[in-house]
Amino acid sequence: MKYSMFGPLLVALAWPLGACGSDAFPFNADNPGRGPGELLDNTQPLNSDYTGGTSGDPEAAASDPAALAAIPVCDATCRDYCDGLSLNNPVDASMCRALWGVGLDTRPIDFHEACRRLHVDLLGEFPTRGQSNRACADGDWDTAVSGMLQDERFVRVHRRRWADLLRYNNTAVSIERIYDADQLVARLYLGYASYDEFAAVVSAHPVLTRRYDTAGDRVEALFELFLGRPPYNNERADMARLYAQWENGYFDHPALGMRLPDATLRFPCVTDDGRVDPSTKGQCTSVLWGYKEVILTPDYRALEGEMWSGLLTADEWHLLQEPGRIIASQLGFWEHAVDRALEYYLGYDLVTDIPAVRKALVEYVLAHNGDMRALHYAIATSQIYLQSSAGETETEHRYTHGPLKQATVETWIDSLKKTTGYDLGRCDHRMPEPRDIAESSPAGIALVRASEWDLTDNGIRRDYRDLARTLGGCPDNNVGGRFTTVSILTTATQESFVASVCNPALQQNRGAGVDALIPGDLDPSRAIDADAAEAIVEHQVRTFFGRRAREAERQEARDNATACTPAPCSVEAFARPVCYALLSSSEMLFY
Amino acid sequence: MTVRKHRRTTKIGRRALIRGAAAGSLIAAAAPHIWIPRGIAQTAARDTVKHILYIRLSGGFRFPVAFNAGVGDQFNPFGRATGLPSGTDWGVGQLLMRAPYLEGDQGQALRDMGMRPVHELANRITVVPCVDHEPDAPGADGNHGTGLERYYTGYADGGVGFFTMINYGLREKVAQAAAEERLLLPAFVLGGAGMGRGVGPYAAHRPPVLSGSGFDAFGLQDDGFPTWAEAMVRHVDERYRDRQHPAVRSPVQVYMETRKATEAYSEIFNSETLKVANGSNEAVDGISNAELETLIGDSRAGRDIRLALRLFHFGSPAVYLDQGGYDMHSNEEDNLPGQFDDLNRLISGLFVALDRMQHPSGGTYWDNTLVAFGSEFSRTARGSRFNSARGSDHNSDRSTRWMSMPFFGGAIGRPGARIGETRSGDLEAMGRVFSYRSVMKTMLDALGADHTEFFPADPPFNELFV
Repeated sequence: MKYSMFGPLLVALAWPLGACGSDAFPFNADNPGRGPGELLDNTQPLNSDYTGGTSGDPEAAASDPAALAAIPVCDATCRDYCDGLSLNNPVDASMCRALWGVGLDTRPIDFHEACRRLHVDLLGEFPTRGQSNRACADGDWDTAVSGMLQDERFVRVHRRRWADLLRYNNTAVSIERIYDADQLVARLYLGYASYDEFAAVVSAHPVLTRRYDTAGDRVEALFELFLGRPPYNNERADMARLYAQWENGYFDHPALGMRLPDATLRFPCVTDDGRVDPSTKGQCTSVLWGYKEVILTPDYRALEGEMWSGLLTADEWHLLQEPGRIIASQLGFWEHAVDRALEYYLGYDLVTDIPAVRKALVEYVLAHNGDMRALHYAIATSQIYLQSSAGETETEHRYTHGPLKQATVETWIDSLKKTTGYDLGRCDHRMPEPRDIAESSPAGIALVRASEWDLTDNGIRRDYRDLARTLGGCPDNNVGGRFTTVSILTTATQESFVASVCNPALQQNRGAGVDALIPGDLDPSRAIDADAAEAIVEHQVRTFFGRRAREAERQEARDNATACTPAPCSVEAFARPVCYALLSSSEMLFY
Repeated sequence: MTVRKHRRTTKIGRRALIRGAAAGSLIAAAAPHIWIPRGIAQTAARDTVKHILYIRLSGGFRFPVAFNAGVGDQFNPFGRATGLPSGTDWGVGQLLMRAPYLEGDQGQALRDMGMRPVHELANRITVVPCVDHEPDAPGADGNHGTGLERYYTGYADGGVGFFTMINYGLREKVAQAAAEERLLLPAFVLGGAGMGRGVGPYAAHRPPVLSGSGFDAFGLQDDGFPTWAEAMVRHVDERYRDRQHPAVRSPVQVYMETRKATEAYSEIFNSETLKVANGSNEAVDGISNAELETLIGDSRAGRDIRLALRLFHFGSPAVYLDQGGYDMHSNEEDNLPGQFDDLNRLISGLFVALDRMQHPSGGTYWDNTLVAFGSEFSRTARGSRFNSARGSDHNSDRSTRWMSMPFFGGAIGRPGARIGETRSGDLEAMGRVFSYRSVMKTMLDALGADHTEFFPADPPFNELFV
């Protein structure tokens, strides 16, 4: 791990002066992040490319499908068959003995379906057909996935995912710390930090320590976050000693003019004169994973026995990150990362049935220096993931057909916005509650203005947030966070929003502009005919669903051209209800 | 914004609603059967309350400044109210006297409608001074995350939110109503989604979480949506479903069924009554939307309260909402009084509205409604009137610990009373201390909800009602 020694020292030296004026405590509204994430400053990516890649839709071994209701044992013939396939992709290679080797098969890859799935999972939005054609490079999935992993939208997708996991909330944790953590996540998904380095920093990051009340709670949060399970009692009690220094305090921010909730430290294992106390140092020492002392001694930076975490040096941060290093040294740490990624892409639990996949992916990630992008590359280029969810199979094994998942709220809303040009605000995962910041000071206003929130003369625009929160997205992370559901209220809300976008009843001055809903060469006021109707449906299917219209859709369009009343309908009068039918459909919600 | 309204549905649609709810989770669907009360711990007020309005004073509210004011300056630096009505036993804060909304000609109009400063209503409010997250714990939970989790669920990291408990506890009543062709709305959350947590068997009973503009954005479109397009809407979904492998069709099918079920609710969701910002002068339950706006105001919480009253009209048993932002680590001394202007107006207007509104089942809404205010924790200035930034913080001390909750409504047996006590100098509890879990269970009991599965060690308490 590479640390810069200078950043915190500068902050430490500047702070006593900075308290008196903003010149000595500079605040940059465009980049306000401060914290231990800044210290992780690797300048070279962990990998320039990845091994593996697609498997080319392997053939299944000959078998009797009737015998495949339960997964057959892979015998010597099966093993030889799989070895002979020379599958490069670690997911596919480890799946073979439960799939192709025993005579099961996957569904073929449908170009537009697979590209759409990749686009949503990797970039967070539904593609138009043109975008699919450009991004997926004629079905060269290795190139397509590599390209998407380089896209800043990929990083953004995961910044938002970690915002949910770390439950960013700016009333509970300093906004500067949240921005720092967000940048740390960005480094992870840009490939400049390994997952174990990342975990070490997060383990002692104020976004985690300030979010919880006691040392034991912090241990529990760390375990849940990186191991996917709560700690056993002995683990909790032992590791809590490494969190004995942390307190929840406040920092009066000189530029923002706000008292920010932030992590502070006390010195529980030192004597009154500031030396390590042999009689109490056991309270700051873990022995369960080897002998680890985490004891800081106070100096001039501490006031009344308490020190703001913003004054910690790089060495002190490193010491405090011992819990993360302990966690990252466990196999379960990597396994949980793999499980989480598989669940993200497949939408179901694969590893319980096929644990070999987990093992193979852990080895793959470690061989790529703990690079999370490598893990995403391996899964996203696997046949298991890319195969079509359409059609039928002779058996019901979950991995013999492609996944079908519900889009996140932001993906759904953003795609509607993008494809129709509908005017809607935004929300910012780093700052779920911007009002107090915007009302605090000129610097606060600048910070909100530089964020993704729309700050207008009438205040912060909330239309996007209100819609998203009703549907389960854009969480405030106070408690609970994101939810994904299909309920009567969410469905009614979605239909209502789509109606406002498409304006199928042709209410005046409502809805998105008609230009986005019709081909460029059609006059919206002209009378509809069968050809124009088919062209409109083709245009919208390509725009919204990222594929060509199918025969049944084109025929329905032609039929509807004559059914449209009062005849003759205008192009616009036809295009807007079509927009509603497509955008409110399950095809815009599931992918 | 408009919502497409499919053909109005009656009996068939309501059946579909039940199917969709089972799949989707707006309400719980259960086979109709006879409601049989069980032998459970209960209060004298069991099943006497039809609606609960539960309001969170957001961010951690410094309760002694309003509802436990008879304590030292370090706990309540704003002083006590004077001119209290007889029969008031709890400590009324001076901040509750603020009533700028009653000033001037507009204020006189509100007075003419019956609105008064909150301190003059104190003998109709009952306060429980010592509500705590964990009465047996050595200290308070002053953490935003876990404090709020306890407020929402009873526990840190609790899996089931209070409003999910309400819907779950009323599942048999809802099923019985559905069997009688009566459509009852579930409990609604108009604030933090944590109140609607639900896992396992409770997941299907999670309340709808509504953020922002409420139902004002919904609109009828019967006259505008073409028939040919209705078929197309259906066909797009059917084609997509039929293309999928049978093993993954179910979420699409659920969505399609939910769309059908939504039709049954469309009449309610699109109703003008729920468009609380429409300025309508049509009286519903004896009061118009315009009058509600005049009384309660148009702040965010004001709109939510007005919507809550209208959701009650459609059978919703409870509404939760957030009010204000009281996490004032700085400038509380200057800014908190202004925050009370909105809070006081809400309370004052709510009194008038509840008194005046006629409940569909008889009596007034006051008779049938219980209103309660809480927060994730109280606040502390660590022994001073304010902290160094003229605000207050939250930690593990008693000042953070006691949430002094006000309650009002027809079911309250001792209006004006104080149920419990704190010592003025150090906030030592001198009377009973109640857990939030007991408070929740008491409210569940008052609604007549089945609460046998929740908080077995925290019984409901009777003192509010007798």
